[in-house]
Amino acid sequence: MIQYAKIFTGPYCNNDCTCCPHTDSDRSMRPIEEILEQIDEAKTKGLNSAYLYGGEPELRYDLKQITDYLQKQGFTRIKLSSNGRAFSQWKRVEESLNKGIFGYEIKLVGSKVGTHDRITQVEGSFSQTVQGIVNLRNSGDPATGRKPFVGLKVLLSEDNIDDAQEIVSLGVSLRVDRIILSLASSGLKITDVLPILRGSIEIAVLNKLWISTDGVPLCMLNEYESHWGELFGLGLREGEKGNKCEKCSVFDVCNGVLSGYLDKFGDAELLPLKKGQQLGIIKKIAQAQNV
Amino acid sequence: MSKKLNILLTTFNIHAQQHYYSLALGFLKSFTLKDPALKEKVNIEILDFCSSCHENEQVLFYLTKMKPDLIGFSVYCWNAEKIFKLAALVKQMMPETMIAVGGPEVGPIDREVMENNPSIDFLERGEGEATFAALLTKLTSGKKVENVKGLTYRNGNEIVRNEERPLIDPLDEIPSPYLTGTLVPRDWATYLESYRGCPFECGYCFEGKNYPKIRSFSKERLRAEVELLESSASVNRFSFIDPVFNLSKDRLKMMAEILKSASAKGKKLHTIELNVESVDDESIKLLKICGVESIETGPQTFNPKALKAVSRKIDPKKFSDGIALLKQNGIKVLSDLIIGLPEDGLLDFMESTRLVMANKPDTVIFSTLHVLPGTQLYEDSAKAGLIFDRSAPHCILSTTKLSYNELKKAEVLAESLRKEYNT
Repeated sequence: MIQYAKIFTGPYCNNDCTCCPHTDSDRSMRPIEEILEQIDEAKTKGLNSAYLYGGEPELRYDLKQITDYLQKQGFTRIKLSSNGRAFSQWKRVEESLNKGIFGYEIKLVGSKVGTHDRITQVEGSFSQTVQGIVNLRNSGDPATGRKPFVGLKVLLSEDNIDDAQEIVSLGVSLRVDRIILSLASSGLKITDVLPILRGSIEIAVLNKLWISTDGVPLCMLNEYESHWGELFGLGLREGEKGNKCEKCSVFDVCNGVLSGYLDKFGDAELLPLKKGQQLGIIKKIAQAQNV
Repeated sequence: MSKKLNILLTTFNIHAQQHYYSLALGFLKSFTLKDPALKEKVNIEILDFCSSCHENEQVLFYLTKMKPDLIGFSVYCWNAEKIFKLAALVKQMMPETMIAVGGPEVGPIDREVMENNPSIDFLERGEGEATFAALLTKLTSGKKVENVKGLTYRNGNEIVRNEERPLIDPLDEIPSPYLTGTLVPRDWATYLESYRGCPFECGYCFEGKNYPKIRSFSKERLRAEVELLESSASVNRFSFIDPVFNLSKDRLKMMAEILKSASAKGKKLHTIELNVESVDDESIKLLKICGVESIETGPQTFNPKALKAVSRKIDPKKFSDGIALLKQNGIKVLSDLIIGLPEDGLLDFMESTRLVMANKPDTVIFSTLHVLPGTQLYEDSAKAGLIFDRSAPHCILSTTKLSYNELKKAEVLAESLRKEYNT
């Protein structure tokens, strides 16, 4: 709904998630000149919201330089994608708010230490991430009363799909403001996991928490269309589409499935959607997110 | 000398940091006391409570200490259920205390309110000032109320509905609660009224349907009220309850002339309701002279079918241009959306939200449709396929395009977006 300039800060990260597309050798920081250039370009498109993602942008020593430049260029809304570990220290929360970052999307991959740390491959990362979420939830600008927006991004793979609903429940108890269920592995067959995804959506909405999906094509979200990630500009990874997809009304705006999915499972699940009034609106909303 | 009638006027206001007080009760008191004969016979006190901060038990604590002869409640959709319950408790504990109610929540459905709430003795329909004063004149002289126009009352087991009272015209017949000292202006919480009525007929709104004719307070009275606020060291920000501040260019010029001095001294107007489509360069100049620092506007929806269903028209380009012009000139914009309008499905609501956010207002405000008594939607609800809670605040439950499930989803989404956008 809100149009963000999506700014990749580089794959450098202090986690080593099993589902991450970046390899060990690829852990670099994107040159700041490129980032500042991208900010300038985003400004010419009339954008005033920026989404910083990586890797782990919080690790950049020059993050303040980036956020200062964003604010100088008139960006009033800055959201940070993070594993949240840095924010387990209160001082880092304060520093982040002082940089003008009032939107957070924290990545969580398990409802328990065992699951989360096994996937991130960093011992202690779960407790740090959860503490980070708690700290962000309790923070704010005392002068203005401004409180940060804290969302959760749940990266789902074969290693934690059975834990999905518990992770959502944890998000509810941590009082996050939104959850994204993101299919992070092409090894998950979507039709097999749809009941889990639907159940997760029901848990969240019942607890008055909005939830969106990422990596699930619209044709599989029957009755859950309003949760389609493309309506919210989600989906950062390159996807692939089936042969029949060209006939689909939302072909141009759908991100498809994750790369490698069609090799494993084929495209029988992907069914082109015919024109209809609702699809017209869906396409309009999704199209507007592609800036 | 016979004993004065002790009257308490009270209400529960919407919660806000600045603690609102009721302008309506101020009007009631100032109108009543302008009659010297009546003034000798009544003591009137006003007590404002907050709908979120104060429970009935706390209010009863005050009421049972004060033991008024008559309590007048100002009833709105946000406080109706609470007031009805309180009225019942008051009658149990103080059966001799008379209870009167007025306000947009009760006037249009007077018979229903009286039937469902046996503790209520009197109900003023429409504008309450003259009706309330006429009621008190009768009560203080021991006369019957059968000829008090605008009144619905209980006569034994019978509910009697007197004939309608004409609208007060000229409006200056109502003394200013501020100039009479009835209400003390407070920073942020002070609202002035420059006219009553509305030229628009939005289906969900009470104002346009019931007060189609515009009646204005005089320029001289407005000027005096503004001068009072100008001289007040504690009031830096105030507002107007007028449904459309920029009703016409001439009116805006008049307001600029009245507000110029106060504005020059740093007094600002906040959350003025504005018709954004008619904002142009000249309007901006006038709004700045008035000291306007923030405005509130629609669109409520951008869906043409939903707009038609509630008798609204919007030119999306003019709307967008108006907002851009306001923001360019440093005036903050609050943009409103309603969830649950007829013909608005969940995806329609999402599209309207996208379009509103694309205009980049400073704040987006979401609210769920309340199908209010006295509005066109309330009258046509069956025909329009609206199912709503019959108890106040009359929230919509479903429409032909939005199931209950989808409505709740829209509310959850709206809250999430509100937090993200307005942070």
